[in-house]
Amino acid sequence: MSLSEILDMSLHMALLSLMAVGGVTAVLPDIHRYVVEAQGWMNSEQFAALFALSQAAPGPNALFITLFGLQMAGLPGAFGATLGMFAPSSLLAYHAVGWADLFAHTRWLNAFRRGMAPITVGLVLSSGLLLAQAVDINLSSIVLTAVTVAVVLLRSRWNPLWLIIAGALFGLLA
Amino acid sequence: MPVAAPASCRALFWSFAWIGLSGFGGVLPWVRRVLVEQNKWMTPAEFTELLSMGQLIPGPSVSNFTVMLGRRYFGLKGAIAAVMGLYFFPLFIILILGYLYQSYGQLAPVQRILDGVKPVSAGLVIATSLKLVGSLPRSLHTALFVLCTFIAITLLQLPLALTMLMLAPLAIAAAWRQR
Repeated sequence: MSLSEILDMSLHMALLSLMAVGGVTAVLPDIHRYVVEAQGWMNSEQFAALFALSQAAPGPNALFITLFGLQMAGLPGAFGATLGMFAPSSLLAYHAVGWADLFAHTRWLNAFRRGMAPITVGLVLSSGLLLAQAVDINLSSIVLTAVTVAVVLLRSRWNPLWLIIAGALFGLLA
Repeated sequence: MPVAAPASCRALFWSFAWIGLSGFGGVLPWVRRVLVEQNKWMTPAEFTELLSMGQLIPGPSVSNFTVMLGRRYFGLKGAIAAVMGLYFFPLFIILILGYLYQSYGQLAPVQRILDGVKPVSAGLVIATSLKLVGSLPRSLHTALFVLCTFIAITLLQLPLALTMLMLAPLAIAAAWRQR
């Protein structure tokens, strides 16, 4: 990728980040559409593998974007994608502190919060299914996904790292 | 419960570095544990309030929260110290993992491990969305907007911008009237 392409990608990530209300996992389908379907910078399998890898590492969830950037264009891509994802929202957050107390309890913000909540849920659900579809679908992958969902819902205090390790061992030994 | 501000930018940096390195699959529980329970820099109520603001601002919520918290204590320097703390070490680790993937990702055992981890990571995201469903008010409106969003993105494969443009105003208007 040339420098101008990296800049372009970075701006695209910034735009997506500014549409991500309630967490960036919600924009995975659009990132997939852009980097896999439109640009062909990686295939669906790599996309899912890199996302899985990011879950196996410590740190904020959103760092999957760094791995995507690295895969697309090396270190400059990693920093371009990461900055695109974090810089605009960080600037917004920095300046939001000033007027936040003023607006914290108004009806408008409450309506925004309550209105956007179900949309965020729908987006995150779509992201989960996109990742499930990007895997070779067979009995063991379906069972692994279903068991993970069940464990998280029933034992919500367990560290997800154990599930990741269990998945890795299952893949290696099965 | 007495609340004390962090002593310095350095204390802020290391606390967030600890948070960043502790959290697998999301750092939010650790943010709460370290800031509210261990350091007592804020009350649970302040935490919830600042977090919900972080979620209202677009982009990664934890990172928005971190910027606002850092600024509250030490202005721009505080915001930078906290964000650097949160990201510095995890960024380093993730880049190493990325390079390892590029070098060894095609080896058969690595492929098998990833084939085991991929469905788990999909399951984690699906579970997150189902847990969020539990936090929504039980109403027809809510169910309708979850469903419409899902249909638009997954079945119709519409772009996010278009989906938001269509659904967000309706959803906000519905929430406004429902009050």
